[in-house]
Amino acid sequence: MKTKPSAGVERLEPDECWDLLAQTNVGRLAVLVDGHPDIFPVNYVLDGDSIVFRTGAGTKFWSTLTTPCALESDGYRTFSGKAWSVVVRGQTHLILDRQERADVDALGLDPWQPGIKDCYLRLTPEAVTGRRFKTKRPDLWGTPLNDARLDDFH
Amino acid sequence: MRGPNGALLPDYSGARAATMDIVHVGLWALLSPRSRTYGLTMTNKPTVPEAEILDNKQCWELLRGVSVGRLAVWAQDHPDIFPINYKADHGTLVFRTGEGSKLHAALSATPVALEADGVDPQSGVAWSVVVKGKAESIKLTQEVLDTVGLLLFPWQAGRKDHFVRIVPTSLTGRRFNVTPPLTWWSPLDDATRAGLE
Repeated sequence: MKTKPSAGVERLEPDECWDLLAQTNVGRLAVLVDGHPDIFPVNYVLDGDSIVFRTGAGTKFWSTLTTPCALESDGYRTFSGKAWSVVVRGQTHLILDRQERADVDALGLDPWQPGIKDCYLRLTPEAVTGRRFKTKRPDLWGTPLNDARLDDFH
Repeated sequence: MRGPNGALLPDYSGARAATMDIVHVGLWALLSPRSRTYGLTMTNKPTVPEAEILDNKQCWELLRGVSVGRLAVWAQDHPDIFPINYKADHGTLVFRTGEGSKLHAALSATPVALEADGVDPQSGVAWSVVVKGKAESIKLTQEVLDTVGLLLFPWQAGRKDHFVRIVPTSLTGRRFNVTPPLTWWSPLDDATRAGLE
């Protein structure tokens, strides 16, 4: 189905999508669990042209490995009054190699949620799409004022 | 396996390899000193266990406290995910969307999931609530408009012609301490704090 672009929605180029993905560490992962979409927040890092995150060995972990996934990240810029949303779709696989896991740790991948999250997963993108749009109600979206990293980009 | 542009091609062998690895992961997790020390090292933090399961009432309170969520849908052969504005309405969730792939996928045979979350930067306590259910298109009656219409400002500018209601078949919520640095998390809505107090 062809989607008609809405007024005021700007499609982002892949390079820009990756730049935006690199600016934040929290995304929401959509997976199919028992035939039903499910969604959970994850802390991620970029590693070259893939996305790496950690999880515990549960139902979602299994589903993540066996069905395609979509990871969404978004943000809001006070400066421009615009929000962005980037979605990466692809297949995830488990990182088994100890050295590879250590390399990922060196990139600063620490899950923000305590608990046992010893499975390292790599999402290899098949499609990356991004949109930027003006929000009518930025107060609903909230301003990431205490996100120190964003100061660098203003 | 790499494609022409150097990107790794989908590889399902990881799933098979995982069968072996999960045993190791499980054992390793049991033996890992880290898994035993979480409860002890965080004594000076707010006393929230690793992941506290929230009851339905708490979930709804939190859902009512924010307006932005992420909607996961199944689009033909893959999941997709969109940020949306929603409003809780008599035990259901209502959102507004324009004609397009989001509406199409939401109303398909596969149910949807909506996740909302938030964090209190002071206490470092975060929460995440997931609602699963079937999405159905609803007519914009005066009743709908009275309860949700005026509050459902489109998060994104542009025409938003359709109202969709999610009737929950499952509601789950968790609350947990976020490990520092909290600056990772962009607060979605200040109202989430009130929901935690």
